[in-house]
Amino acid sequence: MQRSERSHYDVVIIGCGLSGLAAGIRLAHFGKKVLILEKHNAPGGLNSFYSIAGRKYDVGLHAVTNYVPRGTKGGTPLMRVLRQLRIDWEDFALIPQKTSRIQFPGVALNFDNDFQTLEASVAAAFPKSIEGFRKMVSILPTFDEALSHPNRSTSGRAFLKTYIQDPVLIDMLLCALCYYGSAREDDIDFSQLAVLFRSILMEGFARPAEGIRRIIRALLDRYRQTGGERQMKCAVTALNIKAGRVTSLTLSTGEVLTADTVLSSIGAVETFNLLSEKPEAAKPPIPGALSFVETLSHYPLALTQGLWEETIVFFSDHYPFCYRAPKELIDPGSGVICLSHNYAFKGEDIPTEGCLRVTALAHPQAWHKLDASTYAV
Amino acid sequence: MTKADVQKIVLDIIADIAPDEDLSQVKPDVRLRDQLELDSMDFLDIVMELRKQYSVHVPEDEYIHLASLDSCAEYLLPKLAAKA
Ligand SMILES: Cc1cc2nc3c(=O)[nH]c(=O)nc-3n(C[C@H](O)[C@H](O)[C@H](O)COP(=O)(O)OP(=O)(O)OC[C@H]3O[C@@H](n4cnc5c(N)ncnc54)[C@H](O)[C@@H]3O)c2cc1C
Repeated sequence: MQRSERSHYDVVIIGCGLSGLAAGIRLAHFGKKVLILEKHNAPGGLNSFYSIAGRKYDVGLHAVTNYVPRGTKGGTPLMRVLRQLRIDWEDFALIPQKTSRIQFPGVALNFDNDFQTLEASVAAAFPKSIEGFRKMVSILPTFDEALSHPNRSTSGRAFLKTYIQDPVLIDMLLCALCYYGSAREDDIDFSQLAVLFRSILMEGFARPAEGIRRIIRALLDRYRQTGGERQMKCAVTALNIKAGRVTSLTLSTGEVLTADTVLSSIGAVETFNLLSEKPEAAKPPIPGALSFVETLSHYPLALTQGLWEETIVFFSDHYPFCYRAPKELIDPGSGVICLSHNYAFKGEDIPTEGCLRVTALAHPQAWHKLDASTYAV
Repeated sequence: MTKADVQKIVLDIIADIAPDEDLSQVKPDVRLRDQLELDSMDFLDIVMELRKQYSVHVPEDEYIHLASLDSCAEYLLPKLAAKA
């Protein structure tokens, strides 16, 4: 449903990205009157989609992580998300990856959706470290444990060091995990390390043939069926505080809404900036130090034949691995290569073009100084 | 309404919440958690559906009565019968 006439909601959610939608579905299930407000015209946020010159693009999606085969037991995150949102397995239409790689100078680790592939690759390339690697895996906190772990914000690198002898192996693992989820330079929070190690290396990658559109459609359908409301092209411009509580929201349309609860999915800094008065005791949140650029190129599928079979390649052309904001526009020395045609597509899902997506660390201020017309397509 | 009806109501709710579970062999006297993969979030969903579909309210300290199909029937029968 789009927006109704009401001006008071049980819950207002700021942002129609994946987390705003998921929260909205759960709340609507529980009978709450929910409204999602989104400043853009398209839903999806950082995982949205667009079209240019007749081609369809995903804003960010390389891979849906946490892929496990249908019917997997043990309460893995993907199965839990589907169940809690009451979305059928078929609705995401996930196609598993073929194989992936972490490439450093002179040494590679292969991994896929079967953890034994990575284990065997570590054993072959780093025989002295395999025992430590296995030990580390055996004590790695579960998803739920990681998020409430007393050491959650400690150094992930230090944790790896206590188990793994070979510093090159440590850097190779960090390369994959940092690029997919660390806002911290040259390191990763311990809780993030545990979550990402499981999501990427122990579970795995998949993707709908259609890309992120498929997943957003499933979430939107579900949200609509449960009676949730949303309003697009409508930004929250202020969160109005009375007696230490957010009591109303001012919208870009000039309207003011009230809500018992406000959930924000736009980030700590962005949310803080919307507060009409800053709580005296509160320290402003500190923004992360890292930014990325991505480049996408297309190739006729025939040109990609006989070349890489990999779905995702994390790489560094130097050792030690350096994960820091660069001084130049970008740091091409390490990054992620995603070949989105290299999923195990069959039949009509086989794409007609190959797509190469490369992610690299960027220096945002340097980009902001450029005249956008010099690089816009 | 009979205890069997109540068990069917609970099983139908579980079938909606956990379509991936095989419900054909559920033993009524064994804890649901011991035979099906249900976590605490799933029990919240069961409680919610009872409220939405049958206006039956289960307070948090009484969730324990939903442990098995037998205990569900015992506990919910008077509540559902009162609403019917
Ligand atoms: C280039 C790139 C590649 C990525 N690749 C992957 C990948 O392959 N796999 C993966 O799992 N993850 C990937 N991610 C990460 C993933 O996209 C994000 O973690 C996820 O989309 C975050 O979702 P969210 O809903 O929490 O936040 P967001 O997507 O940031 O949603 C916030 C929403 O709030 C809206 N908003 C902001 N301010 C306001 C306001 N004042 N009023 C109203 N609305 C507002 C925004 O427009 C946005 O729609 C990638 C991210 C990027 C940038």
